[in-house]
Amino acid sequence: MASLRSRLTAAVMVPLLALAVTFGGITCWMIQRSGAATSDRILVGSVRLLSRATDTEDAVRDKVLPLAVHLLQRRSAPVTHYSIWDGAELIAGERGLVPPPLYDTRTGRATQRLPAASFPRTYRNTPLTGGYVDPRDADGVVQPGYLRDGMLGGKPVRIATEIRRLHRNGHAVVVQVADFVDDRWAYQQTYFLRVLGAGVLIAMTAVLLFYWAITWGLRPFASLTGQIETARREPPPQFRLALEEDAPREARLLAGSFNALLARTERAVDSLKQFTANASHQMRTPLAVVRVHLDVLERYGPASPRGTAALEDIGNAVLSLERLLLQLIALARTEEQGIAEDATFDLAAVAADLVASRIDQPGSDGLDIGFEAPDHGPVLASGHPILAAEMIGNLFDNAVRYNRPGGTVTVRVLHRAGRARIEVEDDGPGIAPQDRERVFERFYRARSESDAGGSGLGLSIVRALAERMGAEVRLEPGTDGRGVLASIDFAAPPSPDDRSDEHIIETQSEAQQFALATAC
Amino acid sequence: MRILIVEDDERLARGMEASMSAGGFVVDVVGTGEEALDVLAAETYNAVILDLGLPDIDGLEVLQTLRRGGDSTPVLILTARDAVSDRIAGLDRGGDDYLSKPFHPRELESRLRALIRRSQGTADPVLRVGDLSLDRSTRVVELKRSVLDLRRREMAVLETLMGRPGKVVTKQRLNSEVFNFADAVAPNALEVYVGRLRRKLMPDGPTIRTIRGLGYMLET
Repeated sequence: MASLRSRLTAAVMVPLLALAVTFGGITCWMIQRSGAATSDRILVGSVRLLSRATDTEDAVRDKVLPLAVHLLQRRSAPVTHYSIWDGAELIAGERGLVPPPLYDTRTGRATQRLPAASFPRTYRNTPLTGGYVDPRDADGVVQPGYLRDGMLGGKPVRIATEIRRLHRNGHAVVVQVADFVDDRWAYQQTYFLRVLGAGVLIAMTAVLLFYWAITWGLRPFASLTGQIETARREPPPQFRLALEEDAPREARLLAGSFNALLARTERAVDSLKQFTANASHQMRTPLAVVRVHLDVLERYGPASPRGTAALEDIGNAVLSLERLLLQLIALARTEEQGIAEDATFDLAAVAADLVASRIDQPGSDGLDIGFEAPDHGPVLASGHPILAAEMIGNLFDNAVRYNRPGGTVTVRVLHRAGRARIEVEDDGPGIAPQDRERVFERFYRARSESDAGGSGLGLSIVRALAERMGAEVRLEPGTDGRGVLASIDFAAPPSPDDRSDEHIIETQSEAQQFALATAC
Repeated sequence: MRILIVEDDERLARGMEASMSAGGFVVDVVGTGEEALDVLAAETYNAVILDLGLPDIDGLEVLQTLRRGGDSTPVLILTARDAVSDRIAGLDRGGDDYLSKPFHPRELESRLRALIRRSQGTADPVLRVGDLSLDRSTRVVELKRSVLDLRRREMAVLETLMGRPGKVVTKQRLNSEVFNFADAVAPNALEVYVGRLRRKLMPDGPTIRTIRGLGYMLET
């Protein structure tokens, strides 16, 4: 798998290189063009110079011509090849550089006139006469300097030619200067190579710069990876990603999301740890009771008064263990069980069944237990009847368990604001305001209830179930501020039009079974 | 040996009292931290078993109050909290041992005996005075290699006296180590037990001298 760095570099560098090649190509083409134009200018200039030097007094010509030829020598573009013909007679230069076809060597006349060589306008546009700045120099020019391709010694050459009538004798002489095409090419090639070299250098610098820039840009991410890797090898108690102040937003977002995820996971693990610790804590005391009393039985025998008491205490401890276990299972079940969408049940019937099945549970002797429901018709609520029965059962058990001798427990089913509501009210000692929220925590038990033998799980089960069903649980002081009024507001059932009868679950026997399983 | 159990769970306290009485301890039980502090201020115990989850004051606070008041009675912390940090807190606040629930009652007794031995400065579980030996772990008393049959309270009196051989042990001290609150003690009960013990130790054993107005002394 390629690294992000090399991928990014490739993604940027490939088009960049293509651009560089294109640019290099254009540059070479322009070098070739301007090189050719320059050489042509030199050729034409040279031919004019020689032509003008030819049209002088003999004595002057014999001195000026060699000097002109000498001065025209250039290292980069040698103008060594020239010829001056007067008719068929070679006055000077190379014999191989023959006059052009338009010059009749027998008559010494030009048979045809060609346009003078022209070049792209320069920034300073001087008016020329026959190619000369000074019109006097152009006097006698028959054919102004023009360019053609030809051959010299079997090699292609570029030839500049001018035909001038000499003032001295009236002869039309042909002056020619030539340079080899491959010389030009070799000269241009050195420039091409320089362009290529410069291009390669720039490309390499760009790659390096870009690679370094990406490394720099990715440094916050490299730091994050390093931190995670270190934390993986030696997990610290609370790990968070840290970034420098000036880190880019992308890295901050990543670190922020990662830290939020960590925090959530930590919270989940903490709550699980807390739950496990609480559960084991709750089991320790009853187990200790069982062990100690088994020892008492061993020492005193079961028939002794102490042995009898020990047996009873063991029985009670086992009962609280059982209750704890069942409630743990119920709690786990609420977290697994799915609830059928828009299931509807009759809250009044479920509540009546439940109260009837639990009326004779331990601790309810001497309590005044009552049930109130609307006289006509069912009280429809949305949710699952078995789970609703579990919730009501827990509230009812609390009302019975944390009551006073001769107290009352009232279970009330009613409509309120279009929703089904159940209230379980007692006139026992009540819950202190500061405990009212904490009693929903798992295993939390208010101080005053330490002797009542509860597991501390009932209300957390009720709240978990309520959250599943979209119901609301509330604990308030009872009538006249005495006892507790626990209420559940169920979600309103869907309107009767779109509700089919199948959704009303007939579950009285099912609900009873569940109630039996959890009542202990 | 007299023990105070501070435990709010009545069923557990009941079982521990029964089990430990059978193990030769003289046991008192209280259910709250307040009561524990009151009782400890008035009475001398050989050791205290302290539950941390008390309904009124936290057990650790009880322990701290006790230690600040200069009480050095050995305290064994017995609790359902078993995290290492809880153990450290318990021991560092002045606890002498830590046992978490559920526990084996016999282990608890052994630990208590060890605590008491250490507090009395004797490492050997067997007390010896002349030909008489008392094994505090097995509760067996031997005189010249033959086992003496002693009742619980006789044993308690002998154990207290053998703990300080050749020194006067006050009646008050003997009373507090032999009887608990629940025992209805007759004014001369201690004399009766000492008398019985004297008869059982005759003729080979050490004699118990009465120091009038002070107490008793086991002659070496």
